[in-house]
Amino acid sequence: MYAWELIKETVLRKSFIPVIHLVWFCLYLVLPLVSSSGDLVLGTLPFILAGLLLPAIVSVGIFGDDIASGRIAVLITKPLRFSRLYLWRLAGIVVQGALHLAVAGVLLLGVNRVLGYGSTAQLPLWLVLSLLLLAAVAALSTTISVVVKRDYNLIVLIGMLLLVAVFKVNLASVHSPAVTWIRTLITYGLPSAEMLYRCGTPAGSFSERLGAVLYVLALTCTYATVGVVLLKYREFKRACD
Amino acid sequence: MLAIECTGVSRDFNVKSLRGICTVRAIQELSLTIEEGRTIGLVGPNGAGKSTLISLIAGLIFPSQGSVLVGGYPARSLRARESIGYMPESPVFLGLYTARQVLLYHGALSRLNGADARRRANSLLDRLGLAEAANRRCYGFSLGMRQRLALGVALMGDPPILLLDEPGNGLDPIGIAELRELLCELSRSGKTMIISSHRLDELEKVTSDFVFLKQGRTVHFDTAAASSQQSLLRIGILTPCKGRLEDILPSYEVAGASDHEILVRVSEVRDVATIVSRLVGSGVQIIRVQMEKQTAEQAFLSLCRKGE
Repeated sequence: MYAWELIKETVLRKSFIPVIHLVWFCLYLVLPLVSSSGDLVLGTLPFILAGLLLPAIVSVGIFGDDIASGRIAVLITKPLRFSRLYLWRLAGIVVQGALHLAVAGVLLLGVNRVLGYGSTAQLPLWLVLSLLLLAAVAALSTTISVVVKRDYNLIVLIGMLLLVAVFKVNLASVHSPAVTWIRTLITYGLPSAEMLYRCGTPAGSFSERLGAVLYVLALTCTYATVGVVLLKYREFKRACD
Repeated sequence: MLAIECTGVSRDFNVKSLRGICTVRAIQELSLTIEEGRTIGLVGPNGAGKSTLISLIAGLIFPSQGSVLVGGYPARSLRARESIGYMPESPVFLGLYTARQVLLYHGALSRLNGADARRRANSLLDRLGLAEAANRRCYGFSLGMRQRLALGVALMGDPPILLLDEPGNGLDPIGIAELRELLCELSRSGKTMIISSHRLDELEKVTSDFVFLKQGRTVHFDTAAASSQQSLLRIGILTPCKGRLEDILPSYEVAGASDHEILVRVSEVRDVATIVSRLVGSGVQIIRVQMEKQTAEQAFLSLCRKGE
């Protein structure tokens, strides 16, 4: 029963969360219509919107809100393993992400079949890849939320995204020890959207796809493990009276 | 059996100041044992370390030195958390949840099954006077309603140990009377309770056991003994005897004397007769005798002023 309550809480904890889902659904309907490319691969839309952006927004302050408001003090004293508290909340984001992607798939099929826009090539594969990316980003964001104040949660994530974008645009061809270090960090330390993206394109071989999927799963587990350890050993101070 | 055992506990905090970061010791080598079924009032001036002590017992923070055991297990361990119900000073709930949903949520986290959680939630909503607000969302709740709900949350899993931080905050007089009744009932049912409060008059109606904290140390513990030791005998007199009191009452502490009144500290009721007979035997005319048992507040103030 606690699992269900923790999953449910991830949707009900903030009134903006259902609104975000609705806005995203509207975007799936609108973006193919306004796209200049007549042969837009529709699967890339949920990959970016739901895989990358949705978990970053939905999981903001998932622990940080509790820590800032003091609710965490009561949660921590409940007879529940910290790993379960963390994992079922993460599961809540993944479950709402999965349901979101299912609806997105139906909407995109509708856009393609009824209105004739875009291409639905490998749409199921794109949805699975989106879910994998969503889980990795959600785990990273949830772990950040255990240590970073809620206000900085999204800023840290966006900062990481900008770091990747700047690096890809400006520094990818530069060879210096610092750039090599950043390249290694981006490639192996952050959820690699690029790696998963290649899985959705015809260029990716089976072994590459399998490797990418396993790597992202391992990364998700690593983020979650770090989050659980942080939750278990960090203090939740109150002001002295 | 011991419910709570603190052994040589110290807790330091790093505090930012204009000169940089300095270390403040909020709790200093505190040792404390609380037996099962006892209700303890945790009192002390601001900054005494009450909330820090409750946080240490609840497992929210760790001691810098020493150990804290709850029900024989280290604080914050799963076994320790199975025994406690915690009510914070300023409770916050998910605004979109109703009072009933909040209780069901915490019931689930306390590992109750659905039917038990619903039964317990309904019973607590009635008991805490929240039945009418059961289906209202929490964001509109007054401070008093939030306090009641927070107490319900602490009681949801029916834990044997309750840590209550200022439970009477924001309650109206009727709410305070109901809370007192509930706390007395919980105390009678064998719960171990630590109640931190500034309302000493209210605490005194629930328990006679107090832990006085001052600058992170326990100042006194056995308040029942302390109170009786510090009972005050107020004797109205017609015959001035200020200069002779040391001869008349050599073994008693005279707290004050004037031409019309003598104040003597007594430890037992039978001392009253001895004191009165000695005064009468010395020719002092007595017109009034009044025994004033020291309240917790007076004991607290006297303990706070000692060493100032």
